Amino acid sequence: MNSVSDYLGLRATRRIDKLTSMDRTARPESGIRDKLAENLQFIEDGMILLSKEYHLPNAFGARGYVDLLARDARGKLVVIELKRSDSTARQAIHELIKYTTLLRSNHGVGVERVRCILVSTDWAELRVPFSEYLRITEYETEGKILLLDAEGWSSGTKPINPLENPGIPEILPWHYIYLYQSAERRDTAVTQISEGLTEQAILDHILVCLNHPADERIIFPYAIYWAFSLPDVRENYDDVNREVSFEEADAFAYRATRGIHPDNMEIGYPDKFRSVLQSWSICSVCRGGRFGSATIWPDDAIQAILRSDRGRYSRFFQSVASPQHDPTWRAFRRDIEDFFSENVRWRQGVAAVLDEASLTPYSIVSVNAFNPCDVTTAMIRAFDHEITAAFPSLEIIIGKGDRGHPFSMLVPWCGMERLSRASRSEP
Amino acid sequence: MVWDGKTFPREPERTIGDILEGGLEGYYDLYHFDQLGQHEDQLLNRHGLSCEIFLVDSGRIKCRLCPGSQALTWEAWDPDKLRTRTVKEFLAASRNYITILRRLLSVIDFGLSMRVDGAKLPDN
Repeated sequence: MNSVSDYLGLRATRRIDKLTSMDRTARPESGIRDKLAENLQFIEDGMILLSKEYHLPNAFGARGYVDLLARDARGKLVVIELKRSDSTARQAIHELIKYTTLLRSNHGVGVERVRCILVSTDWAELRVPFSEYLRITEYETEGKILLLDAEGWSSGTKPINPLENPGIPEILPWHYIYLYQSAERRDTAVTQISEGLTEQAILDHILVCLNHPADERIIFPYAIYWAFSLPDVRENYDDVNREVSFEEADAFAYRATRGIHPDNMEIGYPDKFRSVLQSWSICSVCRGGRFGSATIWPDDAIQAILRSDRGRYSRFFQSVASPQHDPTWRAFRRDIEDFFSENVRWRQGVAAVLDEASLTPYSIVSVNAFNPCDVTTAMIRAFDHEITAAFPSLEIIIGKGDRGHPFSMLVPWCGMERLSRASRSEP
Repeated sequence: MVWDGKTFPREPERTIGDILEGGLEGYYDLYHFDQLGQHEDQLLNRHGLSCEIFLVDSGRIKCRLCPGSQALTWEAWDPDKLRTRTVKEFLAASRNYITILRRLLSVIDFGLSMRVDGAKLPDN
């Protein structure tokens, strides 16, 4: 979620955009580029122009022309991409990717030698994709608003602040179960709870209505199983990675539900939701905030969140990844680290095994784990049911991948032997 | 998961109570707030259980990953000299202990109104 300052920042940007677009003389981009080339200090002091419209041949598509190629005071090459209007701004990210790639493929210039500066008069369309681009690019990149004088010529630049990473709502592991004797009372409460949460700025929330089949032993056969995340609060903390405690979360829940009195209530958590679904059935789901779309968050996806199928509160982990695709691999490793956050031995052990696997980029790694974090219950379950599956389990299979049939070549990890470059099946 | 083969817990009140504040009642609170994970290593240790990683090839254990001072290292595993004690062996050796544990926990009110079958958890 964007902070208020981001919102104000965006409004300020729009105001500047508006002012700059009010220029009485609509100068062509080439004219502005030439003027800027003569005054590179508008962008950064100490920058030397190397070329205007620097040609980059492209054997696989349209060639590229870097608007301005410069060298900064540190000796780095600076790709300056200039955009004059909202419509052309949309191409800007594509062009930055293309130019840095062509500089690497045509001239062997790597990440450490190149900077990118995107200069635009209009950031309304550009700010969201540019902010995301900054998060994923390896290249040192910045954005600047181009200021124009009354005659429409460039008169300076101002740095643009990227938007904060919106993050993904993380439903807290403490859930609430409100129980009712009648469906009517339950259904009324659903709306009240959702409104109460929204009033407390807890926008991302889930309420699942459950019914129990007729059973005289069940006094309260109607339930609301609800859970929420606290992004607004966490953004205000100095340390965004700080764990939210149950007491903090419960204080929000208490304020949101003041005046709402269920017939009975219980605390829920992912494993309990899993258990509840064995005897209760879902009759409706109320979604709030970023979970609001049933298209994006269908019922099965909502159930997976409450069961905590993924993430740090999950008890089960099942995933496959390859070090060949770095972003997926990093996310995979992060997920595993979260999963084993309370099991030091396995967290360190799995990290060591995955370090080994990383040395073989074309390997495929499958991890299947169960970590209930409750050995006492595991003992009783194992004793009652004569099963050992209640205990933590971990299986890692590391195989040599093949590009066309990634799983057909799956073989068991063969000890300490690392697949040498010569024996690896290069795609 | 392996068992060290030499730890035989006898009294749940002491084994668990020494670790969890409030003893078995404390266990109940932590269970309900899903907070048992922070004590899991200690609880496993008190029962002689541990989480290990073994490298298996063709169905046989080849080596064990063991923690070192600087980095984790693999040590060769000779099945003829060293045998892993399994969780099954632990369960068989701890029947009395688990029976007492089960009885003590059943006294605590796990009678959640959502479950007619007490604290039964799903099989996985």
